Amino acid sequence: MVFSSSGQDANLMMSSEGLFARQRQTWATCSDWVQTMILKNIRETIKAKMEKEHGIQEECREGFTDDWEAVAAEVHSQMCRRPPHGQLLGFRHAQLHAFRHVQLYRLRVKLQATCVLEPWLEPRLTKTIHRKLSRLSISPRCWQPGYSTSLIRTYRLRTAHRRWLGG
Amino acid sequence: MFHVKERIGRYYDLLRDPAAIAHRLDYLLERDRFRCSLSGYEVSVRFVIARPQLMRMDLTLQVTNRFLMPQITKAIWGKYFKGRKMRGIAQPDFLGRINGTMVCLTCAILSHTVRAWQTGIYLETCVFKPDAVAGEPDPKHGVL
Repeated sequence: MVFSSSGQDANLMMSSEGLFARQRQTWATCSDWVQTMILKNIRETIKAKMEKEHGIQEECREGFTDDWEAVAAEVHSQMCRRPPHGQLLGFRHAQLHAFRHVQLYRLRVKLQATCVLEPWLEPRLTKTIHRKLSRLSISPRCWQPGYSTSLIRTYRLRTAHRRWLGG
Repeated sequence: MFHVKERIGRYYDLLRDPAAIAHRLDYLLERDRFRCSLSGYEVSVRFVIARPQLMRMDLTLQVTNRFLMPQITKAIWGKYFKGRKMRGIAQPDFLGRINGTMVCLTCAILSHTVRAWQTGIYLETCVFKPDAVAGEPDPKHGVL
């Protein structure tokens, strides 16, 4: 089927005029509650699609009030805890120090747990422990297989490391 | 308009055969069925109020699902909300601005596109011009 009649095109264009007015005339015949229902349906469908495809959710502020006093107190406490620029390096150092301390503590706990499970360390396990200790710049006194596990908890820190930890 | 033109086949489940498309669109354009829900082209509900002592009313209402078709939502989504940088996403209050005027405009575009496809082959010469949306502004909903 081929359509090439320009006369029919013109008729089509003529009939397209006033399409909008015609739709609005039909829309006006709908009662108000039907119109409201249609619009609500469209908005909710689009909102659900936005959540699904774009991950955009509506901001929910129900049940919350702006407690400016609490906000001010929180900001003030954060400002007090923030170190001044001159001490930032020391603050970072302290953070690193704490991090190392936690790592040492974890390692110690792990070693103790290992001691309970394995009275005699296997070579593979010993190498693992030695690697971890080396990563912490710690020289274990006994990392050879065959040593009692009770001794593995005593490790020797390098001098610089010990000083750094305050030992 | 371009968005609707590209997807009108999907919206109305049109086949590839021009004759089948023409037949289907003739049916949709008759009594403006194109703007009804896919499941409610010919819905007719009959209400009978039987009160022998008073009167007997036999009402047959022609209830159609006008403006309830999912094509409206799809067209608005494709035009304003599909991309992350589109107007509907960029303006958070845009969703609340979807009103009857926008619904009618979308329906007018759908109607125009269906008419352009009426022969089974899309007529490129049919352009949706401002004349097609000519009319007095709606005092209730205003303009877009």
